[in-house]
Amino acid sequence: MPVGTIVHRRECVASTNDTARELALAGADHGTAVVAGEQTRGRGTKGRVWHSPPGLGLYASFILRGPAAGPVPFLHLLPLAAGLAASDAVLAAAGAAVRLKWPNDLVHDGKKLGGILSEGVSGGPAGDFAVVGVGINVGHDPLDFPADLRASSTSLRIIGGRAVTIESVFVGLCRALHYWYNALARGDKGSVIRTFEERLAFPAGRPIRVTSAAGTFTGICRGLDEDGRLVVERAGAAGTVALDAVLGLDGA
Amino acid sequence: MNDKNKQPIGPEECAMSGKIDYEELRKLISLLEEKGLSIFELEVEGLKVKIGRNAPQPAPSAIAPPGGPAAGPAAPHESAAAAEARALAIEVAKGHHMITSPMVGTFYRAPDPASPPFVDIGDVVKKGQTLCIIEAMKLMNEIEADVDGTVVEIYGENAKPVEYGQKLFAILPSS
Repeated sequence: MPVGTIVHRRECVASTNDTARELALAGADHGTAVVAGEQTRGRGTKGRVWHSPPGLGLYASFILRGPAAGPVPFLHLLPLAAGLAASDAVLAAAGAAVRLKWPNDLVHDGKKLGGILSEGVSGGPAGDFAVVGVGINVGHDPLDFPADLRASSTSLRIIGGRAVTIESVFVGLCRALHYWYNALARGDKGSVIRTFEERLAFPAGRPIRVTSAAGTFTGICRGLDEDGRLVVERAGAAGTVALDAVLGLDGA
Repeated sequence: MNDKNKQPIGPEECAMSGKIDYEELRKLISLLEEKGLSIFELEVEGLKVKIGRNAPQPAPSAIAPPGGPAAGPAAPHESAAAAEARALAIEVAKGHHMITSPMVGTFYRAPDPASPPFVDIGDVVKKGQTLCIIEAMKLMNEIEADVDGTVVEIYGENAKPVEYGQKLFAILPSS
């Protein structure tokens, strides 16, 4: 079933990911979407809040399952596939080319336009599933952002493309997520990884500064490896390291 | 964390692992076929199983190294496939249900560093209970028990990488 065939529309939820998870645990099909006008407890990664004022952003979550009730294919690459889908949707709806800050942010001119929050459950009685949450800032003016986020955030309205409706971004997102999920489902993880590399905010060959649990270091980005990990050639060290998580990533 | 949860499983709880039923025997036999082995011997806690099947024989030199048949479970000439089959078969014979990783990522035994582990060896778990989290690319994937039973082995180390299909937990089903 194509992604977005079944859409649960809610005026206001705590978090679209939580609603989607409840639906999945109750047996909702692959491709089911939840879209809300407002989130009161929208979540980002590491327990952070995703600021979700009513009517200004796209707040949507999708339930994805594996073929034939099996495991979700290449689960660890799903956040990258979702990032590609979100950037496709923004390009289609607003004509804006955004970059992807590995592994899960959409940025434009170094400012955050959107983010992905993915979760999964395996082995449980409701079958394996993943929930992919996408938040994209659409109609915000700078003053709509909290003061501490204002300098680092942007929206499609601020970027100044053509007038964009939240619905048009959502429709494009459903189509694009269907496309990229199917790439994974047929085993074509290479196209997901290569396309993500092309859209990296700090692409291969560029200096970057990485903050990890072990501390901060600088190096040269060498793209992504076959598992989607960020490959970095550390300054002053031989060889490269492949990272599957970072606390922070900036241009150096 | 309750101290009793940290105790290794006692011998009385292991007693039933000496039994083997028809279903487990069938699993052993299909494992033998899958791995292309012709003879298989297993001894666990008072139970001895020897299974043989007719299979195309490799050149004798390949199965009979100089010095005669090797004794002991970890024969140095054992192939990787045979070693894997032996390890799996031991678990199957004990009646253990294996939980493996559905993805590449980092293995976490607790929801966050300040919390106690989801489960410990000896804990009784219910179907649908969270056992661990595997994280990759900021995707948090909860692994849930798909049987009721007792956790008898935890293979992964907290905050270390795991591969797709890697063993994470052995559970002794309660029925």
